[in-house]
Amino acid sequence: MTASLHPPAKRARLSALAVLLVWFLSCPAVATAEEVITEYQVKAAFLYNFSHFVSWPASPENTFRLCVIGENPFGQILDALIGKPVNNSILVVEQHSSLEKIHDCQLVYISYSLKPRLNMILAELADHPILTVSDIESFTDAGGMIELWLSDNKVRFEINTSAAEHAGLSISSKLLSLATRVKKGQ
Amino acid sequence: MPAMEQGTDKNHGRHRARQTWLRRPGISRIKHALRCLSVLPGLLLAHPSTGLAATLPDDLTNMGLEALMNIEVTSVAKKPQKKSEAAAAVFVITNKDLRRWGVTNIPDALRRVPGLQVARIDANKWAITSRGFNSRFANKLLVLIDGRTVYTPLFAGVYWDANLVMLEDVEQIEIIRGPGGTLWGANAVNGVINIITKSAGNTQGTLVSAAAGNELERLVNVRHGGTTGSGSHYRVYAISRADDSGFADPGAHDDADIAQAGFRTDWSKGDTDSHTLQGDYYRGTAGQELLIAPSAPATITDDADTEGGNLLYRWTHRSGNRSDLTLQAYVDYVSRESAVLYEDRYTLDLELQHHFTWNDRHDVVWGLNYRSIDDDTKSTQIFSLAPADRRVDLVTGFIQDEISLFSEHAKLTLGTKLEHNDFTGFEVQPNIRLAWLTDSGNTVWGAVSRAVRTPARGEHDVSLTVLPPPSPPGLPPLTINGNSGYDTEKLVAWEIGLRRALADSVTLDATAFYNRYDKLRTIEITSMPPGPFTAVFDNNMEGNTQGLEIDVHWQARPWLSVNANYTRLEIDLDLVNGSMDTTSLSAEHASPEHQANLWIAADLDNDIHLDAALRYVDSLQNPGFTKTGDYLAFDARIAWMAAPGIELSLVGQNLFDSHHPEFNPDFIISTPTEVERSIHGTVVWTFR
Repeated sequence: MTASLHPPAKRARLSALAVLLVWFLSCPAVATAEEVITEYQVKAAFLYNFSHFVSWPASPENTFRLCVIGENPFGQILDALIGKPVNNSILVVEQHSSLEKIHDCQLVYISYSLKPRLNMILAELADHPILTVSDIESFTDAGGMIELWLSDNKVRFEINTSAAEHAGLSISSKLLSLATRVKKGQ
Repeated sequence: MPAMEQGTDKNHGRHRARQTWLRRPGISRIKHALRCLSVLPGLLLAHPSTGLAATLPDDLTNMGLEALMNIEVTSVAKKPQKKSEAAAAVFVITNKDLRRWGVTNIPDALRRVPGLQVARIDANKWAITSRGFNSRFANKLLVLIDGRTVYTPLFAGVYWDANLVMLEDVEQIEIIRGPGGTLWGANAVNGVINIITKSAGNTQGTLVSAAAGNELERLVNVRHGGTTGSGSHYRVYAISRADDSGFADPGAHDDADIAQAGFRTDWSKGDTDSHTLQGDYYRGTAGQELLIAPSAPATITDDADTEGGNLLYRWTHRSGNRSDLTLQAYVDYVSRESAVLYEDRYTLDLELQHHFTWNDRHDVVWGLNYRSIDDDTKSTQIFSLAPADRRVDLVTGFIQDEISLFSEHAKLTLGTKLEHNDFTGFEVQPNIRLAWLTDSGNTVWGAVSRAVRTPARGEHDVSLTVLPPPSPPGLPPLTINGNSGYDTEKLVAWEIGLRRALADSVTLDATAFYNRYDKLRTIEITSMPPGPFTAVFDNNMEGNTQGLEIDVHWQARPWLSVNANYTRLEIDLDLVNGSMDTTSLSAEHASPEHQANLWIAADLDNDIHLDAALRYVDSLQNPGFTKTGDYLAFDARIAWMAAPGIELSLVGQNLFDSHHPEFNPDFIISTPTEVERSIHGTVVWTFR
């Protein structure tokens, strides 16, 4: 008797286990909901702020394109900025993998992953009215406009004004006063 | 050392990618479970990432720049790709890893690192090394805690029982295999373990953690962090720990008890200057059963009394993003008293380090270090040092230049260390490294380095009576004497490595090495019975090691990661100069030829985490009491965030077997004990 009952019972247990396993495996979960502010949340807020302290040449479009090239360290964070107002325009976020499409952007964030190609990218963007921002070290020395970095876990930035002027952008004195370093002239 | 701390910023890459999806404003668990069930039909399909990603809170976007500049962020990953670009074999254990692996001490955490060999001798003694030559007094590995060297210069090994770290406050542990020769101190022949605790600003609030189980009798960690004004933070902590003895037949006496307390303060002026002052003090006892002359074969039951303290100050001055200067000074006191050895040791260490970029192409680090070690020892029946008290000075300078070539596609690193020690005078340790970074983010690197291990004080000054070799029978105990002509052990290491993405979510990190050693330590018989039976340390062994270390990380799902690694190690040693040494060649078999790890980390729910790990370690043939066969260990942890700030977890280690031996001691013979199946529960409570 017991012997004949065993296999189905065992099978039932196994399938219960399998269902449980499948449920576990299919369950998208996340870690503890501790309220911490991550580096790229703050950096995203910086990007949004920068757009208010820089003036671009007049554009026929009423969209402000914030573009990320290279590996996107922000994840979905930037999505929260979509639709926010920037100087009479509406902000949109775009992720690009090729350089050709970024000429219409107003602000380009160059990911750290593109460090090996930085000089080429900056040369490509040099004559366009595009604000370039990155965390690549010595970004401003290489001709980038705003370099973000961390000091004691706080976000700091440096500005290369000549690169911005060359591109036809003007950066407000308020922003310059908050920069850790302002690089003028090449 | 600050070079590495400064490196810290750069070495987060491996884990940073996971961070973006980790933070989400909590949704109720029930709702979550329902949603989970509703996606059942779409099994194992990628989940839409929108719900998982961190978002940008409105109050952040509405904040002005001044306010934003004052927000402290949790990540210090300034240069996230840096680890993947390094021309060295680097592995990083994060704070999160430490928690999720369920480990309670540093040795257990190191068990999962490719290229390391970790074996427990008894409940308070470990043999830990990198790339071979394992022993309790493994002497080719440098261990640093917040820039402070913790190996003992007497034998150049590490007393792992006496260097506790509160794991909750560890930022990360960086492990660099291979000669860290250029930047690191005297012992970094085969590797560096750099334990870095969080800055005080990142350990604000109160944390109480209490754990107990069948083997871990008690582990209570308490920390409180606060602020004393803008830009100035502190923490104080205390640890109380008791470990039960391991398994031995008929019984063991290796239980241990230790208490430690300490503090850390960090303060900064503006963006340019930051200061750290930190210190620790501990007292403990570690039981052992000694099998030593002349009472052997009867054992002596003994307790080693340990005590120690340290105080460290560090000042870092930054000039923008491209130059920083670090000054560091520490004093360290260590005392250890047992039936074998009485030792008090005082260390003073001063260090200057300057890092700058030049001409956009050169990333230069140079530094100077002065260390003075003063010890007082007392003889026992089997151990003495002549002179009994000695001061040893060590002066080191180094310079390294990382040069960017081919529009940042290649990084050529040239460096050398110049060291002067009291035993062998000047030693030069150069290295050359080249990394090639492809556009797609892959890295290929190679390095050739020369490193030396300078003599330990014991190798010069000791007189140690050890048990006679088993054959021929009837020999009296052997007295090994130090040798004032003992030379440095020398290494030339060849390494190549590859880091690449195998697929979107799979990364591979592989390293192969060939090490050529010269002047390794031997023990030469100088006189035989019927006269005194004596021997002396000499440098009559050479040989090579070769190995392969492969580490794969697969982020299978946003909530599930799988890690696997494999370590292969071959050691081939030869005696030269007519050496008659009968024991040193056993180093060939004191490290496993094969090791493998496989572990998963699964977030089953917002609040429930499951971790499981398998570890295979090949057999050893190190001479001694027990046969150390191969073993397969299974560890698991389940944790539940019961309420905000309260985590309950249950950890099982070595669940597959009731006990297994891992290592036999050498030189100072104590009864080894086996690692038993263990279970412990932990409650962690954090609040502001």
